[in-house]
Amino acid sequence: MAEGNLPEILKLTIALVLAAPLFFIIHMIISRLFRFAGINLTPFVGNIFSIIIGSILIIIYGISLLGAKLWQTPAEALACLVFVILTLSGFAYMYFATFAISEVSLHMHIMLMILISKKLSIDAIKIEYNKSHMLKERLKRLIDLGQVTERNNLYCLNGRLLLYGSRIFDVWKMLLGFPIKLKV
Amino acid sequence: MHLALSSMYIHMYPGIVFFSPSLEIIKLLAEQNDRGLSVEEMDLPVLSEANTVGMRVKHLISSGMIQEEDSSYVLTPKGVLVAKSFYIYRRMLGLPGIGRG
Repeated sequence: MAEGNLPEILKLTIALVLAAPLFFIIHMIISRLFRFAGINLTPFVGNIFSIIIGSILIIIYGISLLGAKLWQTPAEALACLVFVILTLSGFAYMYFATFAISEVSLHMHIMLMILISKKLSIDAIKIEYNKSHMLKERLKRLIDLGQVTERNNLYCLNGRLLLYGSRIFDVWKMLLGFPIKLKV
Repeated sequence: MHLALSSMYIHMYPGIVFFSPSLEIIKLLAEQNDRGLSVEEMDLPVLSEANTVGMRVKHLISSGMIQEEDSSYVLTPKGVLVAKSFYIYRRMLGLPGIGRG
């Protein structure tokens, strides 16, 4: 399949490389559509939707490019599928993380605060970052993402997705020799 | 594929080096089973002043993004470039220029 389909494989590779700009364009369209419809969309939900829609579009494009030839030899079809999924996952995570930096990163938040006000004292930064404000902001975000619920001012774990994600990071930290608990 | 997976690893690395306040909240709530915790009961070292503002400001100075000027902080030219890129990106998405942090 590979030798006979070089133009198709090249087109598929270009489509994969353009995955991140495609996610961005879809994200812009989704944000505007929801705002136009008057629906308050959580920023991360818009981000995840754009990645899912963009990935589906690229997979459909890949299948339409290779068509029936894709299924001629199962081994090559499987290799092609693994290549597409791994590449797409890499770009999808890259786009997700770039958006996360703009939305939740404390580093970026401090830099944007300074950009807007030109100059900022340490006290002004500290006011913005008081513990209670940060905690409430994060709890609100976790509730929006369906990972936490609130009843009578008590917060409980609702979903397990982020918990499993944190376990993966903990294992990774251990493998690299980093502490998994923050020293007080 | 190499580019995509390398980018993924680079983007994941800060999650290894730093402690995410959101993930620490999730872990703390998981330890309580179904009991639940109020905001006042959530004692997270990751949200202390030293671990939030102090550490972040130090990192931004050492990476050349901000600098101290008359006991205030200003962006360096490199910092302006990075911050403006993210500001424009967010505005293009129709979001406020600054995230919730």
